[in-house]
Amino acid sequence: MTETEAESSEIELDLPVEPSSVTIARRAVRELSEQLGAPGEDVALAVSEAVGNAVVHAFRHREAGTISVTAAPRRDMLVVTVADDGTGMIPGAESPGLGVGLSLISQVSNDVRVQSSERGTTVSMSFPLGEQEGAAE
Amino acid sequence: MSESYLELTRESHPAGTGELAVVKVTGELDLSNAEELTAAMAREALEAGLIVDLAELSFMDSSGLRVLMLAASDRGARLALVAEPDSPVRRVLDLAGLTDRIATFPARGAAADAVEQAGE
Repeated sequence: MTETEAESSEIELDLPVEPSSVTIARRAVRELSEQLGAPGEDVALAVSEAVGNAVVHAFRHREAGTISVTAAPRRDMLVVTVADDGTGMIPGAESPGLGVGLSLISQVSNDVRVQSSERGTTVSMSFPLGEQEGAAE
Repeated sequence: MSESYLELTRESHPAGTGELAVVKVTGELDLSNAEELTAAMAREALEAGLIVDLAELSFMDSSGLRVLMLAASDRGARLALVAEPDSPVRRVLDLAGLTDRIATFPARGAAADAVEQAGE
């Protein structure tokens, strides 16, 4: 696993395809979101769902790869991406639980976009900045 | 420590002439440890009432929701949850619509009453 924090206001994580990556990504992005005044609970839930989906679904029929998580402020939003190099979303594939995760993400984020191809899936989510009490100046 | 902290405690709550099993869940519940809750609930008899107390749980995602839904499908109304109103966990339960499917109460007393009535 490689793990870097390019700047204090940005996060880049390359994580293995295993359940503990859900916890690692959630804690890191939650801490950043709370520093920046984004809604930490919402961000934590969305990251947990997106990384969990990648762990459970993205590599079901191939060798495990990497899950990349980035988080950075962009204008008045915190933009979080969770990308994997798995099989992409397969229409009609057996994928128990997939809908619950995306439903939760869509309910707690301002915007969610999913790009999927045979080279993997990227989930991009955005959250408002500077609206939470205790946000860093 | 990379896995979420999770503590599962077997407790009991007085009910009628006996007592109800309570599984108290503390910490964070996610993909890395949700199966621990499955195992803890499986140790309790299916035909008996069961309260899962989430009041001290600080985080739960759909991995935990899935475990609770499976337990509810096995136990029906003999399963009740305890979750603080306005807590993060209660919010996730509401967002997923789980509180429509599993009786959820702010305190153990009300949960125990509901589970007892279901068993009568």
